Amino acid sequence: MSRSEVQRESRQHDAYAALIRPIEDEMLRAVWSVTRDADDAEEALQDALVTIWRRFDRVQRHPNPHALILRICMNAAYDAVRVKIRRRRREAAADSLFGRSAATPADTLSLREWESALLDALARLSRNQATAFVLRVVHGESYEEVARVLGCRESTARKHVNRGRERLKALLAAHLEEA
Amino acid sequence: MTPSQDIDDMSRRTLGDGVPPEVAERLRGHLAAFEVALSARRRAERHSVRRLVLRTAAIAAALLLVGVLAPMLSRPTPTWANVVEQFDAAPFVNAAVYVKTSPLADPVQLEAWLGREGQWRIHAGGSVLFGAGAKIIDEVRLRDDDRPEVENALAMVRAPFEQVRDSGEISLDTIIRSLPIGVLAPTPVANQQASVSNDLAVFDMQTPSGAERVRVWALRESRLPVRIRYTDDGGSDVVDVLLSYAPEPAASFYDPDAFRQRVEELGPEAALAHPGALEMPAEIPPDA
Repeated sequence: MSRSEVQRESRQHDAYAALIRPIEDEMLRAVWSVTRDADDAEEALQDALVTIWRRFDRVQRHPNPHALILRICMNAAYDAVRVKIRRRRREAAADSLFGRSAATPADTLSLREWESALLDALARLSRNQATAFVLRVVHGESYEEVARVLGCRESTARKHVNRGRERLKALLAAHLEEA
Repeated sequence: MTPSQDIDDMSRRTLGDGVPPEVAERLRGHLAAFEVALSARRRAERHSVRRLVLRTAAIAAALLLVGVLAPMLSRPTPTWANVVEQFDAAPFVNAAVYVKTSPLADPVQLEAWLGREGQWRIHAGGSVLFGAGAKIIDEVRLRDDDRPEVENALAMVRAPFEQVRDSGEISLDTIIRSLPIGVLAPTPVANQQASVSNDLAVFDMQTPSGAERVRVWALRESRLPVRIRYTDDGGSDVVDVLLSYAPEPAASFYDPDAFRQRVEELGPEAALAHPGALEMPAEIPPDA
């Protein structure tokens, strides 16, 4: 839906129906695929909705409001993940301080551990790289759609995906070898 | 499998599953709440917009009332007394008078100038009359013009001066009553039905039989009369008087001797020309 169509729809009918409903599922997928945790996804979605609320006029005027909303969702999800990672590190530091070990060797290759490592690594990418990688690789979106969400050219979106992938490979090298 | 394929595949397998139903349900609850909040916000915005529009409309209406209606309300239809008063106070009146004595006759034009102090000058045919109040002071004959219609017209313009011989004053009333209308209604009646009555005040009077009528058009703002028209029932006699106003000319304008001198110096045509009769604003160049 183009901006003019969205604006017309939101003027004539309901802003929610025009802006949110067509991409509800994508919003949920965006926050879930990045956070992988119900509480974090909930928190991320709430933060995203607050951002959309505060910037509602700007969202409506945006050339591609749906892409902007998805980017807001993904950014909120990354923020939630980063908060979680910082909390984990603080907890890990506390465990280390008090002689506790969070993981056992048996857990190392578990799916849960891999997922956690992947999310940690994603959170260390730039937002554009992480968003481009998740949209392209995980959600299977076209580069054109990735570029629309990021608000950049398609060639730039490709660069973000490739650089994100290379960075993830470096960050997850140990896990990949084990796998 | 290359490392790149590994990372893509692992990422897809790890993160690419759908949102679990129980999580989706929790998240959709937030979307539903957001929808309600957004709808309320839009209603509030619409309400505030409506309120703004109403407030703006009220302000506009008030401004309209103050700017447009108030001046109109403060400018009621002038009374006949207002019109007479303004006419009498005008410093210099130029009247172009067109007289027709039958529907097929050519109109005879006369020109009259009246000053505030009662001086006047009338040009008809080959003659220029000079006077003050009810008294004709002098007559300058520029050429012989003994056409009967000119004599009739001159007689017509002499009439008011003869009528006011007792009071010595020329007024709008005396001019109108000098028209060949016989017994007039005592005071012209404001006619609100005339098609131009929104722009001009229209006053009508007629003989008791209705056979002869006089209509006077006056400006609503300045209350000055701008046209007087007399007609009789058959339309055989028509007198149209177009009135214009200008600053008072030099006293020599009403002096027959000064006029004779101008005729000798400039010739009759140039001597008759009176630029002051049409007041031109300064921004209009003389040769425009």
